[in-house]
Amino acid sequence: MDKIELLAPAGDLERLKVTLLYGADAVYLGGEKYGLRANAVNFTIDELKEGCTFAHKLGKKVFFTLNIVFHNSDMEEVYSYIDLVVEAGVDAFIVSDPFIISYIKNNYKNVEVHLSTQNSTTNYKTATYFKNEGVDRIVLARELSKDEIKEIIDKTGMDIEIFIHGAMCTCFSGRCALSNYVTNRDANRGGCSQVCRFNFKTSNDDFTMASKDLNMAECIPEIIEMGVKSLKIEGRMRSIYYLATVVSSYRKIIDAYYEKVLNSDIMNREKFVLSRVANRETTTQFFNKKADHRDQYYTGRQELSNQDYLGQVIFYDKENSLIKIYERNHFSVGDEVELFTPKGDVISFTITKLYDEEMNSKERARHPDSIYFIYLDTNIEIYEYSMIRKV
Amino acid sequence: MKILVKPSLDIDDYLDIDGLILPLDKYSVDYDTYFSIEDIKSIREKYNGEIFVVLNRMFFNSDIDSLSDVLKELEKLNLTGIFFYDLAVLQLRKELDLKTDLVWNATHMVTNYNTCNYYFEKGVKYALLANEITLDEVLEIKEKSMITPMFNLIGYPVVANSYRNLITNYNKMHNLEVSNNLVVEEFVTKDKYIIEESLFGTTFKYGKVLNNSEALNILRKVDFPYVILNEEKIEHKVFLEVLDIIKDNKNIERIEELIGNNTGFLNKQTIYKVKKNG
Repeated sequence: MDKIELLAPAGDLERLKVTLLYGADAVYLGGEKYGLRANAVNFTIDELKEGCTFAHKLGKKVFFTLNIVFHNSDMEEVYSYIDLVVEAGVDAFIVSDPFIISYIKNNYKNVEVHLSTQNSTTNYKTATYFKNEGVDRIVLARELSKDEIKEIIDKTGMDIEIFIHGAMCTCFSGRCALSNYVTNRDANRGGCSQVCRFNFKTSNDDFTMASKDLNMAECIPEIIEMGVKSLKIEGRMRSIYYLATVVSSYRKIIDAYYEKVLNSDIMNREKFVLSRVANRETTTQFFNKKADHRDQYYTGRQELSNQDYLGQVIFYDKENSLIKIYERNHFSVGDEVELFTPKGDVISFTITKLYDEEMNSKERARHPDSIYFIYLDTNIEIYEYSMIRKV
Repeated sequence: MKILVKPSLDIDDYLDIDGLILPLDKYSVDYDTYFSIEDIKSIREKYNGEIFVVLNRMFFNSDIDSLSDVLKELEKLNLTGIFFYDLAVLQLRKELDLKTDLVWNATHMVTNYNTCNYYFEKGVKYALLANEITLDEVLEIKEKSMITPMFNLIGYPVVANSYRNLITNYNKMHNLEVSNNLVVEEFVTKDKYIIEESLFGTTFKYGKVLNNSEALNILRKVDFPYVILNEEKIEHKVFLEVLDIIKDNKNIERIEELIGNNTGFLNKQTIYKVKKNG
């Protein structure tokens, strides 16, 4: 059995490196045009080349989102842009508008086409249609149950990708123009203003329809056994700490499953780690039952600020047992913290000595975006992009 | 230019209209009233114009067998076309070797001439253009695609569709009485939205009726093939007057007095980038 793919978002080059180093098998990202996150930083062609080179050296893949619903005015440069993106080295395009499919398949035999969830594929006949069109993989609608997903795999033999973690749309993807009407921002061209997280006035309590986030950690063994090809994490605009944490947790669950060592201790530990990085409550949404009132919020925006992330490791001075870190949130001598590495190691320790950039002893790091040194004596290899969080 | 009407229910006032749009009960969404196969058969007997049936909901695996049966049944009714959203309909048409023409009806996604041409090459004859594009875009699609385009002229615009039972869920959480519709107001714009729930989820409609009648002259000038008028939620008497004005092509400005002047995105481009990269 091929090992299931873990696919993570990369909003920029740094996120690409972090997600791949933390265990993603592939990343998906957008360019400066034609992607559904028009307001993310996104990749220039040069950055894309660098990202593809980085990924391929690790034996990993890069998927490029070209999944807007095109308007006439978007047509002029789309084919030449695709040519540039292919030249940069991407392994697949994620598309929504079907006229793109034949151009890519006819011109680039070695580049895959993945059908975006924007198309909301909900049944095996629609999947068959796209299989016949040459689509290599379908990202299924997020409204499907496990039985429906399994039936589509069994009846089509298609490579199937499903979302396992992150924010959910309230409506069918592609079948929502709330953003267009309320804010004049085109949802299907990357401008979605997330109106489904707004409150609306009624004669009673405010009407809300926001969805809780998706978290499928406990379903991973079942999903692997169903024959799903790829597990997708949502969030091209998320922080590197969030991505490192989420990718690392799913990596551990997947690896433990294949190594036949997955048990409740590992699962509970990773679910706890995922819960600490979440800024909304999570559910399995449609996977086990049709989503209902328990899968939504009813009291306005429920987004919690998370200050667990204390800093990113710049390097480890083994000789002097000092970690140089870039501070993101306050911490003090005496705090119980964890350092976690891209290789999956977690070191729990108490901060005993803390210094500022000029090596003055400090009791508290209180200036985010500043450099600090923390004393830590360990034999574990500490790599670039390791991070420190509160326990 | 042909006029298609989606009647609220009774079709007797529309026997002289070019065509009717009839959403099929249990196979379509986003409408207030639906028609059974038996209803459509009896309408077919007394009505000589074009009949289009709507099958625009998302289908799931468990729907496929009955969808297949329904398509075979509809094939016998001498329909002009079937509106579809889910490509399962296009796939089944091919597998079953059906001849009834199709109307690509992907709501907000029918926005460019290339994709219209793509579906034309796949055997789809018609496309109902999205409400969220401008008149210039509508005209360019007409000019550059081979598909026969249709344009929503009058009717409450559909804004979104969800598989979730959003009203039921809301009522349950707030201990409210069971209902399947709700009018809500957006806090900033003060615009109203109509929310309706059915067996297949929840539909959002904009609270003001779309009146694209100012485009009529230019649409006639370019010989635009079809315009659609949806009677739902409009007083029957008012709708008949609007219909007469459009048929006669006289006193168009009176329509604004009757149903307001919401022209939607006809002259308004949406934006999607709100800040520069980097």
